[in-house]
Amino acid sequence: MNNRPLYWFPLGILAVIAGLTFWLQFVVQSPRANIFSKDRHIADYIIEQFSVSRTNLAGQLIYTLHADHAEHFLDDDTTTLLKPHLIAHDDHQGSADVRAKQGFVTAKGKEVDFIGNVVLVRDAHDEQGPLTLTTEYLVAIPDARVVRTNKLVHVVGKSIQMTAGGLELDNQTRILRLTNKVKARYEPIK
Amino acid sequence: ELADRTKPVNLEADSVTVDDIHKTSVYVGSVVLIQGTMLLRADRIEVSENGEGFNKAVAYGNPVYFRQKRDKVDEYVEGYASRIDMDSKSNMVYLTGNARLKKGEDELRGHTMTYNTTSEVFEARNDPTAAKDPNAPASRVRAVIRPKVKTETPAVAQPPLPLRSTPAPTLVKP
Repeated sequence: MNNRPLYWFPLGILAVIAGLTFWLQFVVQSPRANIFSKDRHIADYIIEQFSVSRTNLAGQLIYTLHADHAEHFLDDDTTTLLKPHLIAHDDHQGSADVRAKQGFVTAKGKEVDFIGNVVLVRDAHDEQGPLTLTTEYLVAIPDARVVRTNKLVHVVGKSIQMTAGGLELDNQTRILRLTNKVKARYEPIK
Repeated sequence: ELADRTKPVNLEADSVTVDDIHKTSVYVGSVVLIQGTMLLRADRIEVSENGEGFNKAVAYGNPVYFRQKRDKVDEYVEGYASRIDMDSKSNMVYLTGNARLKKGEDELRGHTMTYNTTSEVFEARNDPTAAKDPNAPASRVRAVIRPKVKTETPAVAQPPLPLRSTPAPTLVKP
């Protein structure tokens, strides 16, 4: 009978080791521990004085995007920008220059949201002169060369001023569409 | 009024589409155009610009309503038509389709009308194409000119001469 303790001792050791193994596995697999797991929204890279340019197949510059500070997030491939500045180039249709306090770039750069004190200057280099557009929020779709907003917007040109509750500007067709209580004022011909 | 030309043009609408290449803007939805005393109300107004700015407006409506104050006269000219073209440079207004113009009590109807806002001359025409269609009613120009009733100025009743009560001269015996 007196060999019973000898018999239990190794079993006890085994039980402790098994317990430790399970605990370790639990710790390793728990999401909190995996800092690069999919649902952790943390910046995987941060750039100061950020600048990126896009060219077409012929090597012509399509647009350039600058920002004072950029943070990219791995989990959803989005990027936040501080003081973004987008310049769209087009030899035929003229240029478009957009600035704002903050910016947000969706996955793969499909869309760039400009937020806070947004100023867009569109210059077709014609007798009408540049058109300046100010609002609090503007979505730019660089590939389609379209910008749009559903917020209050002011448009000022050489002899015209307009306000509206929504806007869409297509830089390729050069069609500007304003909606939602449009008011326009043409200055008299001198 | 003549001064309207020097005034800014204000427009209000539900939406506008600006074509930067052709310099045209199409305003749609309860459109109101105001330039000085001139007012235009329509469903749709197409504005074309030239290098200097606002140039022409073409209004479509059911009908379009036009109103402008006459120069130096406290009276308005009002117009109605299916379409009204306004040329700010030549000071001409063209009314097309069931055109009607009212100046004070007088009224003129026709198919098309032109109105010179400077000389205040308006010209009405019938629809020449209507004559060819036997079924269509005759297209005629009609005018209603109300006689200007001369306001008889009543003889102003002379205020009675103030009778001064002066004492009768007393006869003094020589």
